[in-house]
Amino acid sequence: MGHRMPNQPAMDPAPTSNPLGDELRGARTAKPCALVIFGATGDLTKRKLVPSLMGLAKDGLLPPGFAVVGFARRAWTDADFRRELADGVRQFGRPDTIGHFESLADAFSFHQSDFGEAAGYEALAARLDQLDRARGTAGNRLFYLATPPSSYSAILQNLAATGLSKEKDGRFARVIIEKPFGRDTATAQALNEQVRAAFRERQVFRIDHYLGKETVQNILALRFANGIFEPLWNEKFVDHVQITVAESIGVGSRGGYFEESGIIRDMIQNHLMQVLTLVAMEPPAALTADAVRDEKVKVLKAIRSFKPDEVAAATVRAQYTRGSFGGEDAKGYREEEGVAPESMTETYAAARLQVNTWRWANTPFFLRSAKRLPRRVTEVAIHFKQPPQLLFEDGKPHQPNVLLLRIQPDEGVALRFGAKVPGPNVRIRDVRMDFRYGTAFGGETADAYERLLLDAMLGDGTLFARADEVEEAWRIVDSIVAGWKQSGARPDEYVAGTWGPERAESLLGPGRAWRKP
Amino acid sequence: MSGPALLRTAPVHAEWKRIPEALRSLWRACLPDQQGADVARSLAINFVAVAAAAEEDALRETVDKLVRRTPCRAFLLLLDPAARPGTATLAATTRTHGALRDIVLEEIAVRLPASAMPQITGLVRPLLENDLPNHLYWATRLPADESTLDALASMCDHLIVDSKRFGAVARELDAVQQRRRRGHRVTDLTWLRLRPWRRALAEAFDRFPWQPGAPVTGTIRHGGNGLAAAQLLANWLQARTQAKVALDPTGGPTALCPERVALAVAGCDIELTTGGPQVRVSVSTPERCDLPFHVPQSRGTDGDLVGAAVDLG
Ligand SMILES: NC(=O)c1ccc[n+]([C@@H]2O[C@H](COP(=O)([O-])OP(=O)(O)OC[C@H]3O[C@@H](n4cnc5c(N)ncnc54)[C@H](OP(=O)(O)O)[C@@H]3O)[C@@H](O)[C@H]2O)c1
Repeated sequence: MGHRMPNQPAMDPAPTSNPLGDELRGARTAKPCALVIFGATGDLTKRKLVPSLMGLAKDGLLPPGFAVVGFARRAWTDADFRRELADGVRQFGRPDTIGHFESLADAFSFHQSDFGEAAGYEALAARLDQLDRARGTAGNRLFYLATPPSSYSAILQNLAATGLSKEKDGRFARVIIEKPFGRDTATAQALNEQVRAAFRERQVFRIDHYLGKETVQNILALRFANGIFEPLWNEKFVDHVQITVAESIGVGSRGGYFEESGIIRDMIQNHLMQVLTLVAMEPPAALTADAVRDEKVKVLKAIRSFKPDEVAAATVRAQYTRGSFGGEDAKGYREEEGVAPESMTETYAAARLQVNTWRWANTPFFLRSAKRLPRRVTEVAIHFKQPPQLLFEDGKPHQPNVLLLRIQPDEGVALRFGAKVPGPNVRIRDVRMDFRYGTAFGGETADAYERLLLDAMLGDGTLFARADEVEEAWRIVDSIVAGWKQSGARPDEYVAGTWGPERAESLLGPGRAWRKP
Repeated sequence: MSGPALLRTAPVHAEWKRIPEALRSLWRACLPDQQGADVARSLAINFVAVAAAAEEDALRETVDKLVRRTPCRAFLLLLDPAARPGTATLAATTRTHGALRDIVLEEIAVRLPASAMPQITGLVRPLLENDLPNHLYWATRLPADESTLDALASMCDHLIVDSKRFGAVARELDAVQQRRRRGHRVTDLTWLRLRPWRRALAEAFDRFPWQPGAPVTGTIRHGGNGLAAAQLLANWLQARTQAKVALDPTGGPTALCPERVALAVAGCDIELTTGGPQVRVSVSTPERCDLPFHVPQSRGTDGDLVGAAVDLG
């Protein structure tokens, strides 16, 4: 199933003959290029992509010679497009980025066409050639598929047919693909086939915006830049690991979309699996795209698919029911707009995964993600084992040590440990040593999309999912979905605004409890 | 996007020997009013800054900017010929983020005449917070007698200077170079300010094949405040390409970076000019004349540059 990747350098090497070339190498500045956004009138472009580009402009990270072509169906003029984007930058951009948009506005133009119309791509190619001359984009192109997945196929085929996906004479052509990447193994493989028909793997950048978050990248820094954690990072010392991505919102107006995916496809297959691989992987030989991704894939490969009859004991799925939230009534999932009254789609999923490697042989990983939990929080909690002998408090165990990697909000790292309560008695109380990113590094942090857009321009795929990673993650998720389907049992229920169904506690086993972060 | 709020305590005056107690009183002053609330100290560096008293406002602005990214204990040593040494003024800044509160700045300001500087190391050393990197920001020109600078620098891991403040530019740049040769880590903010110019020149050299040894000649036009920057750029080009670069001092007086750089490299012409917030770069070769491209000018205040220097150091 694994797809062999050609070795890929992290970045295009700068010509060695440039006597000042190290200025360009150290700085992570990309080569001139044109970014074509398919689906440019959509929400993602306005909320995320263009505000992030302006964040890069603010930090001086956009290449000299840069242009954006928006591709969509609507009969917009360049002026309409720029007005809409300016509005997006004002609403969603980092402070003081609108000035950058204004000075770069003429780099943005709009191209009206249907994704299925071949002539539209011929015209696009001509426009890009013209931009090379007018804006110095040097023949380099980055295509961003910010469209519903149903459009990917037409776009990929047309890019291949017009030759826009071909790299020649040292010019790059790359494609960024948004999630969801398929809805199961078969569709992901089919999509990978389509992608491969147009692009080679090293030209492809599959976005999982979690990987663009500083704190997710910090998992690798914490593990591999410090000497004290790695010796403990294994089944001898770690009792279990909990990875939580909780949302406080319900499905809102996305009920129709959510019905088709459920939380397992929407969150676990991508974000939680990605975080899991970073927590569980072996140290890579180097920090290059393929060395890191090779190690991540090994983690996924070490997780066995479930047999259908194992699924009930290893997972929990549930739906939120009517409850109250922030003092207001909250609808149950089945009452939400676009949701079938008899819907079987889960809004809560938890699973016990076993990574079958020497390092993790006896340490289960518990993944949980849900909507309508009390708080929006993403965290990884490493629960350590109890000390071998309990000296204090009549031999009663106290809370085990927990190393907490908080990904959002209040990004940081905390360690829970027992300390003696002052006084003549030997009493132990849990205390917390806390490192908060916001305080230690302050300042405004760049949006995840900024980092990912820059990396794609640089050709650095480290923070993007490779074809085999995506397919392996689907294999595991598919086996869970198949088990649920076969059992036909109704999802459990939890009241909106609570921490999930009761049965989820039993998933963990004796002496363990889900964190209520 | 609403960021965390910064709150500053009222200043506290203390004799030098009472500074530790004064610091503790500041911590208490930082505690929120609610019962059971707590405050954490989140200092990441010790920051020792030396500046003329007349530059105090600029220095405070720099420190305010710095702590947004790098919480610190800051020593502001203000050179004031009229000051009587012996007292310090202390204040703290906390950052509140929801229910969380952290001390991000513990500031100890001391005014003293240059003649009292030799005493200052004895004051600062015991107050440096343990286990943190120490950065010395020498925000004034380099003195001919460097003994005090040496004494402070010997306590610190990293020296930050800004050659825009230098008086005898060539001599002071040379003194900085010698310090580096002795193994000191030194960052010059003017060098960081020149980053867009360096990048623009590197981009320009990327547009044609460079033959090592090819003759490079050129001029850098600058104004009175831009001499150090022009000199640094010329030295760099000379070191990398053996360029013969002349300085033309006829530019406008205030700009800190060059106004124009023109280079001739084996039949190719490179021209960099400033236009608003950007550096405009044109390159022409015997075969072709590319469209000019733009690189954003330096994006930061002194505070941003000091922050960048601390990250580098
Ligand atoms: N929105 C987010 O914050 C977000 C976050 C993460 C991932 N994503 C993913 O990003 C992708 C895009 O999301 P979105 O919210 O931006 O979608 P959207 O608002 O529905 O936008 C869809 C875009 O595609 C264009 N389009 C659709 N069919 C077309 C056709 N046949 N020919 C030409 N243009 C066509 C639309 O143009 P016209 O309307 O002009 O026809 C519009 O620009 C999706 O895969 C989504 O899952 C979005």
